Amino acid sequence: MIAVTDLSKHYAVPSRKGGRKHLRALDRVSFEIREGEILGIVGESGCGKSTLGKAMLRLVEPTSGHVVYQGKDLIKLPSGELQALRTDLQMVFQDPYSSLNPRMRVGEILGEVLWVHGTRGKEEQDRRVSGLLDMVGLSQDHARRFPHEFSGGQRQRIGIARALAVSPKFLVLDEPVSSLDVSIQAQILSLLTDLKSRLSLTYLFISHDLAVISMLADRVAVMYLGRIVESGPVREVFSSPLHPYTQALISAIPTLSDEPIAKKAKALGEPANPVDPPPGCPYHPRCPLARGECRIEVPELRTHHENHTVSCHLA
Amino acid sequence: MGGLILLVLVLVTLFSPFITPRDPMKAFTSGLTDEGMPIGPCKEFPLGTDTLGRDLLSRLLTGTRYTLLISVSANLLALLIGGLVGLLAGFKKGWLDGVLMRLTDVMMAFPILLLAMALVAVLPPSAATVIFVLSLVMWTGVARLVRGLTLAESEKDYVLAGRALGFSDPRILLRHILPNILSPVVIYVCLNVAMTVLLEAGMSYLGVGVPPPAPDWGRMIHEGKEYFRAAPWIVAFPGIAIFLSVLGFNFLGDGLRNALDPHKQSQ
Repeated sequence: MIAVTDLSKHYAVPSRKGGRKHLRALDRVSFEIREGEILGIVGESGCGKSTLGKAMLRLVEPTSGHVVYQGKDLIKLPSGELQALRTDLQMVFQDPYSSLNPRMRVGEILGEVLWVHGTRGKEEQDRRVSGLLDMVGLSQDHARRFPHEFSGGQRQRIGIARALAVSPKFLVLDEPVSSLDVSIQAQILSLLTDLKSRLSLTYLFISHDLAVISMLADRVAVMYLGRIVESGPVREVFSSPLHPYTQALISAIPTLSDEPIAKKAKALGEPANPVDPPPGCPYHPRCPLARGECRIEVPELRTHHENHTVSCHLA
Repeated sequence: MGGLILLVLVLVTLFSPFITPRDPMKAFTSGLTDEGMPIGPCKEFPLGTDTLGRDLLSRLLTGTRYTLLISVSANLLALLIGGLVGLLAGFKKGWLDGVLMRLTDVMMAFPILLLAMALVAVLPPSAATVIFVLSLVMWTGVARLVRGLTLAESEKDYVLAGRALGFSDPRILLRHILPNILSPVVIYVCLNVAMTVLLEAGMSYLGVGVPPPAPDWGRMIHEGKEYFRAAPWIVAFPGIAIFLSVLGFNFLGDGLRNALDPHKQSQ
């Protein structure tokens, strides 16, 4: 459905010696999303997973790369043609507080989207607004309220309704439940799975929560310092991870029994600075298995078997 | 409260020709003592007279018109220029931001009163010139504030959401960003009006304000300062008027902040 190839986003940052360095938020990321699936993106904070979602929809202008949808490269598309395709590709944001305009009532927020996309009649508009609210489990009189009168979970529902207002086919879900209570998380996740099957949507689900990804996603891609280090069917990646980083992430999921958490956290350590990535494999300073070649040569992402890909010299 | 003070000021501005008890420009012979000194508040002249024997109350009321019109219109003009520059710089970023902000820096680097004096020396002396000069001085602050707020606001997710939903730039800028940055800007401009009242008084003091014999509050203080010991009322009443109007604009700023806050107007 959507093919992403070599998508990069570099930020110029002034270096201490004068001159500029590049922060590689995204470094030649490639993957494919199939119609009707949920592709999970996992990684630590700062690994570029949010940038990935935004760059795909050109909410952040990528430095280079291609995003092909319906035979068109979104990155090269002039803004006029891009606007026409935008309705197909929508986004739900992480922070339900800053993602809604605080000065507009919910009815206005949704109504504006409809108005811009051609639903001009007042009655028709009201009917569709209450239809959207109903779809995300809110009631009709919520339309008259301001965003600050809602809880985080309800706000996230409004954000979802806004994205659905243009009848999209594909949604980028950028940590949609990370800022919510666990009990609310479950409600929003079940709403999302429900909507997916009802409206036959395709999701790119970005999260740092491996439990959420393992529950929801069909396939998963693990990101580290702006690169995909492993990808494959979610069950396979989680049961037999190939990359040492994926292995560390999975073993760091807190469980109730087992060894003390402190020990697991120690094994993982801190990520390297993306402005000054280490030579060779970006993961080698943290990798317990690192050998000589890991410090020199960057491992390419290659197919290990079937759909399971990994970028590690050792796997 | 601020609204009340300003309502009085606005009414005085509108009706000053009808409510002034005497001709504000006329020097009364009965307005000076035999020694040629100004008279204090009395039945004939409720606020006393100035150094030329003119009725202070009438001059004060007429002065409201000059002070208020000049300060408010200078700031409206500054809001327009500074707002446009700030919105464009903050929203478009890149080279346009660089050019506009360096221009603002250059304007800010000029000493305010010196710039005012230089301009007044070139332009014909009139109220319009004073408005122009003041707005030229005031727009830079507005531009910086608006740019900063726009920059911060356009990073927010609801603006990105608007982009994703295919909203046009003008729609995002005017319907989404502008309403959300408006209240600090309005408050800032209200405070600026108060400052402009003082700045304008300063210009009049230096002889580059509204040309005489216009009864401008700043000019009145300037004219009365030599007689401060003998006739303190000449300085005191315009001073009180300036004080009250500055206070009024400050209160207005607060009131507007409350009125503009969506958290206080639910349902």
